[in-house]
Amino acid sequence: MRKKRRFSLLLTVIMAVTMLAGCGNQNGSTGKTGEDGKISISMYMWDRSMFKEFTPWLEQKFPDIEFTFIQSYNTMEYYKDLLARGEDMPDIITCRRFSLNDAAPLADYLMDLSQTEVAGTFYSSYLEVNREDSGAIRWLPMCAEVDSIMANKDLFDQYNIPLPTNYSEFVAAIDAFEAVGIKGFQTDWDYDYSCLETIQGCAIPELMSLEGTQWRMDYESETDDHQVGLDDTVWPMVFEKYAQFLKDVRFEPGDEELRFTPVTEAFRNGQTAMIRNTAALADIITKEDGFNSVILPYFGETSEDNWILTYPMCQMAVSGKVEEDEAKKKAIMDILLAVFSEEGQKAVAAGTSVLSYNKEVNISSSPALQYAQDYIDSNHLYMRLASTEVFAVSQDVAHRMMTGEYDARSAYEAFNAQITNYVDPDAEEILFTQKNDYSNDFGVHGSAAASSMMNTLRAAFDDQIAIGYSPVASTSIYAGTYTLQQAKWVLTARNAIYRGEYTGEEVRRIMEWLVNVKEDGSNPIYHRNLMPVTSGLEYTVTETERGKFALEDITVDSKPLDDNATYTVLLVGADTFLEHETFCNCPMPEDLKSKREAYLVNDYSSQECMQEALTKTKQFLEPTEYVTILSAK
Amino acid sequence: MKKRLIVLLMVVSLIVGVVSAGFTYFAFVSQTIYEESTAHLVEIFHQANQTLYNLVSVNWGRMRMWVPYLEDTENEADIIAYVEQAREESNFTDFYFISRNGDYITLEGKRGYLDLRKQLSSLILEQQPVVANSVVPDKPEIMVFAVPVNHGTYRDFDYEAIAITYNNSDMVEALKISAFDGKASTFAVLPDGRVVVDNGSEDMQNIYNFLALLEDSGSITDQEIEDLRHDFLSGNSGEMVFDVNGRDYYLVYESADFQDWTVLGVVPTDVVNASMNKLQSITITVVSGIVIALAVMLLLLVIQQNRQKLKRKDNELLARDELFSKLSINVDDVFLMVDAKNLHVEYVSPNIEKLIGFSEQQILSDIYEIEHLIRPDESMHILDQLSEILPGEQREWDREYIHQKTGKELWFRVVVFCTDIQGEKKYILDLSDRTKDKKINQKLEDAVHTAENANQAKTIFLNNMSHDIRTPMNAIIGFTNIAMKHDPKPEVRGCLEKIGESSEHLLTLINDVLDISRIESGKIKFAPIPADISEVSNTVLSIMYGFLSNRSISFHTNLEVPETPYVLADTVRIREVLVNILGNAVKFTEDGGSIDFEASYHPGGDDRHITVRYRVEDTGVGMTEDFIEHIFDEFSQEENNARTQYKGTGLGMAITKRYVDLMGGTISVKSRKGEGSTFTVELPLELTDESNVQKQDYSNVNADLMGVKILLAEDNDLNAEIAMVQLEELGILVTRASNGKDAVRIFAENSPGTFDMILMDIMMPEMNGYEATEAIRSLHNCPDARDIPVIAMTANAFAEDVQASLDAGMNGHIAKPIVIDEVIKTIARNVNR
Repeated sequence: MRKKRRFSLLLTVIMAVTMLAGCGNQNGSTGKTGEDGKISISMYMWDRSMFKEFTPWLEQKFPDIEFTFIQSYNTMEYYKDLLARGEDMPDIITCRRFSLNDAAPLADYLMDLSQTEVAGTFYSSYLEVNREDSGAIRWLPMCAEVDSIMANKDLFDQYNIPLPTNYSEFVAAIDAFEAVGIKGFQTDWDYDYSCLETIQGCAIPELMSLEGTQWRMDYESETDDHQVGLDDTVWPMVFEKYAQFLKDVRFEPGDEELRFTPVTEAFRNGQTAMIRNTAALADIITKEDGFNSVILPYFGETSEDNWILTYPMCQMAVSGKVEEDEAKKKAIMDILLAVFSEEGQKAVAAGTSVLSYNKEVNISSSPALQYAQDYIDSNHLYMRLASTEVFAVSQDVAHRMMTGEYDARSAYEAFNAQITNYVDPDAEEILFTQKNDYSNDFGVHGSAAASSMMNTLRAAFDDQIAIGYSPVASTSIYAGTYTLQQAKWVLTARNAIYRGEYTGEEVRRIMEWLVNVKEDGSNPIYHRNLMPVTSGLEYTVTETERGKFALEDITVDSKPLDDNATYTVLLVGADTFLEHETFCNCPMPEDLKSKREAYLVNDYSSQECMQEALTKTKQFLEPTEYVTILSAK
Repeated sequence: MKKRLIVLLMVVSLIVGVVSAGFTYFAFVSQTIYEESTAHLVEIFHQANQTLYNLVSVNWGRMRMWVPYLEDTENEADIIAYVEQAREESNFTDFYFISRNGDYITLEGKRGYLDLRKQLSSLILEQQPVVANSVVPDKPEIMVFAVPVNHGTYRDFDYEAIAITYNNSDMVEALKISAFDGKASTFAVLPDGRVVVDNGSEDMQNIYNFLALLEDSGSITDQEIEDLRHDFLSGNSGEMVFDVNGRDYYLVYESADFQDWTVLGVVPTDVVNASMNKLQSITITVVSGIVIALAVMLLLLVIQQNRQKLKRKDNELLARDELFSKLSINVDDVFLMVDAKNLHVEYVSPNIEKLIGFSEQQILSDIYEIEHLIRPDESMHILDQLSEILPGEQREWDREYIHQKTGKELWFRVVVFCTDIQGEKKYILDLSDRTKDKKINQKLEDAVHTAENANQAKTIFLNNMSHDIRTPMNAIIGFTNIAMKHDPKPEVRGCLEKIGESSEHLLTLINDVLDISRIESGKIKFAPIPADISEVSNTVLSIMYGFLSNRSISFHTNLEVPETPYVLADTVRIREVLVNILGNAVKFTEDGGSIDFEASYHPGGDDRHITVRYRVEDTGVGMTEDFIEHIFDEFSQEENNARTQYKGTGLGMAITKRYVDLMGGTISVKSRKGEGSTFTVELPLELTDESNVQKQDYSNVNADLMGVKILLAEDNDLNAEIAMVQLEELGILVTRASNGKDAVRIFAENSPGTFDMILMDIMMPEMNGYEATEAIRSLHNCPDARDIPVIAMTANAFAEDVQASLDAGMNGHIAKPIVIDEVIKTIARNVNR
């Protein structure tokens, strides 16, 4: 909580300075009127998944609006950092991890949406959780993601193990699978969200008791002056149940380091019967792996105590500055109404199973939810407590419980102690001091921030060429100190980092794959700021018509690309969306794909990669003019 | 113009007045309607709100009533029956037993979680009845009414509260109002405007947030929205009008008195005000109708008047057209109107064909056709001169035209007016046929010529008559005088005296007739010459004494001496006037009577003139009043005995009157029968200098003319004899020439000094007197030819004859019949004796 106070003080100082100076840094500023008279709207998307269907749908739905989509982060802290850096609040922001108390410091920068038409489209009870004491509603929850226990139904059937309907059956099923050499339940314990969800998931009846809900309401309305710790009725039971849960799922030492890929791979391979994951992934696995992957609840003592864990896919808020521009405000209100309509929610869900919080929005339930439907119908939907500190503390406490450092009681006490005095160590540690600032605004030579970042990565890992599939910078680069956490935020999250040795000809084909409009009309760069960012390689493109580009010359170190030479290439970016049919439908040629390998170890996250690079360089390096965009005559 | 302005101002004032009155009325009615309507709406929606409140109250009341039964009843079937009965009474959707944690079980045993959030603690911990919105996924939003109960169990489900739920659509029923034909919307909203109960009418569907609706409508200000939100939050009531999509709505709102709901009533104003609007519309329609009707009537009246005026004008125009057309047809004038710009003929009168032989169409097509009317040798083209005529001017030409069909010669007067008709310059051509006038004028000229010839003939006749009568009269009188000088016997003397008197009378008669004729033919003219006016009286007195020589009449004179006697006067005429009057006085006054003659002088019109007044009063026979009226008529003589006693021509007073008139004077007469008459003559005379006056000829009638040598040119033997006898009696040597030519020859053949004087008759054969005189005067080889006195002695006795003689180079004039005394004087004066 000391951090919150500090942040508030920082924001106050920045506000005062900005007001006295009469101006502020316009980098990544809220929308202005575009050169063609269109209203410009900046939209920060919490995750790359939002670019899959949602952003193309928005651009198609609102052709008269000039959108700038930036991939941001899932935490409120990212936006707080933007403000702390002197940036304006983007016009529309999204955030996955949400709690009212986390959002409170941003309240002054966000618009009260309680009196808007779009707020009225929500079922009251879903929206009321976001209502501040003042009556204001600043965050609108996107459709609910179902995130519970995912089971390989076919595996259950194969071993004639019935799907569990209560906790004891759940444990029995685990035992039964273990007996046949199949892991009964596993999850990617390494992640904070896995820890958080399993802690809360195993004790939802307690958390949803009268006392539990009372405490939660108190906690979410805490202020800097009124910090709320864990209550002593519900939460000790939660940790007791969690300790039991870890035993019952046969947690083994070292599992705390498990990440997404090995866990899901094992599940997909039939080596694990149940994992924690989302209905969306269940749908994908069912589709891609040919077995029925279904969602089961977190089990309670009886089936009446089973609950489905959900959370909004993200929360959406609007900058308070929008109210100063009536035209933009109206445009944004139209956008919000569209986003929270059935059509919009389907675009957000991108074909996966979600639940809607809005009236008159019917999203048909997917087969993955067939065993969850009763719990949905009986409203046994638990919305996870998702404050930043709860994520961080859950990870820390859970891992310590997993390693045996904490028993239930000490875990409770440690958790209680941390959330009342939570300090994120990554936000405290100064990693380096950046000398120069580089804007993330996109020009004819691309983004300086993205270039600097790619140059840093290439230099740190000593590769000849680095290619980002698109500008992978989430923020501008600022002169001044960088904490570890801030260093993570520069590179967009969830980007795979690959490495491979490619000939010049293959490099050219990679670039052509990333740039050129395909024969079937598929277009990987329908928007300029989706242009690949490179390091050690410069290229020229011609904009043949608005939003369509053709690759021209490529040089390496200012010399023409040698088709026969071999280069070590660092590939940064999630090709998922280039290959996704709604986004681009441009699969990477298989021969090129086969030559790349995940860098370092599996699931080595892009953030960690950036972090490691900066640890070496201690500086974001000078950007280069890696691209030249020409206009067709 | 001024009148029109006044009318326009009146009309504008009237319209402004009507419109102002209309607006005032409309504003008043609108305000009244608003107040009435909102009051009405408040009442209606208050009832709806009350219904909602009653529903809540009743529900809580009923649920509290159910609690003891449910607590005491263990039989599931009984509970179900009881609740089902209650459902029928309260019409709720579902019934729930609620656990301490918010879980529920339905009568059917279905379990789930009812999210009451904060209300759960109120319900369970504070034991308060609660109302809450809640939701079950994919189901309509529900309204939950819950009351706490003592711990109970249903189907092994421990519960601490019971709840009934209504779908919001059911709650809508409570807020439904029957008025306004389904066009009223009712909402329950939270303070932020979010709609929790939606009973929106057809045009108020899918309203999720009422304040957002108002904000989007833009019909009310942000402040008004904030005030409204504050009212919602504070539980205040109110009403207003707003506009959505161009339609006005009444909004009335009041607190629902539970939760933090506010009940809104929204009805289109036109629906609420339908009847009032109808009344207003009817009123406005009626008033408008009346106003419009009045306006229409006024308009019609104006139109009618205008039409009548136009009709009158049309009639006038038609009449004028007709008149003009008829005139055009019947007059001898062709009228054309020509545009000055292009000489395009805009009008041509229909009589053109008749008058000049061109058709209307010919001239309409080309005005230059009229130039063909003139003779080929005529070069003066009127059309070429039109441009010189300025607006307001006119020019005239006389033209000889050839009729294009008959070939007749015609005389036209062409008059061209230039005028400006509404800014356009026009020429109006009047081709006036003056052929008849020309012919009449020709005849008149001929007549004048004839008359002049006749007059000339008359003059010649009079002259001839005068000459031819005087010539024998000269012989008669002359020989009578000669005979008397030869001492005739008494009987012969008597005869001679009667011949003499008769001759005198005849001569007078002839003179009067000739005079009156000459006066009427204008031969006698007023010829004033410088004279001493007092001399006239004297001259007259000498004549008067002659008249009175044989009479016993007392004659008295009173002749004033004028201050300045020198005047311009025709003394001959004045004398004749006075002689005539005095002669009559003598004639008509018997012996023993008296005659008074007065002359007086008076100031004239200015200091350059005087007026002379002569007055003659006698004690004669006098005249009747009837005769006095005709005294100055020609040949007027009173029928009385005096006619035979006093013979006359009856022309004397007529001539007198003419002479006085000629001289610009007046003559008046007063008379009484048997008592006498008084004649008064007044004549204006212009004063002149004494130097201009010729002295009176006082030549001696008794001069010695012995030895004077006279050449007498006389063709008439008798007259020659008479003259020679009487002249030779005076010792004058007379040489006779028988005509003018003879006279010239004799004079030329004789040496200078052979003759002292020539008496020259005028009318002579071979060479008349004038010619002979001129011939003599032009005899260069005769030294005395230029100086020898030549005296006309002729029967041509008129003044113009005298002048003609002088003009011919003669030195004097003696009229026949000759008076020997006059002859002596004339000879004596010219031969210096």
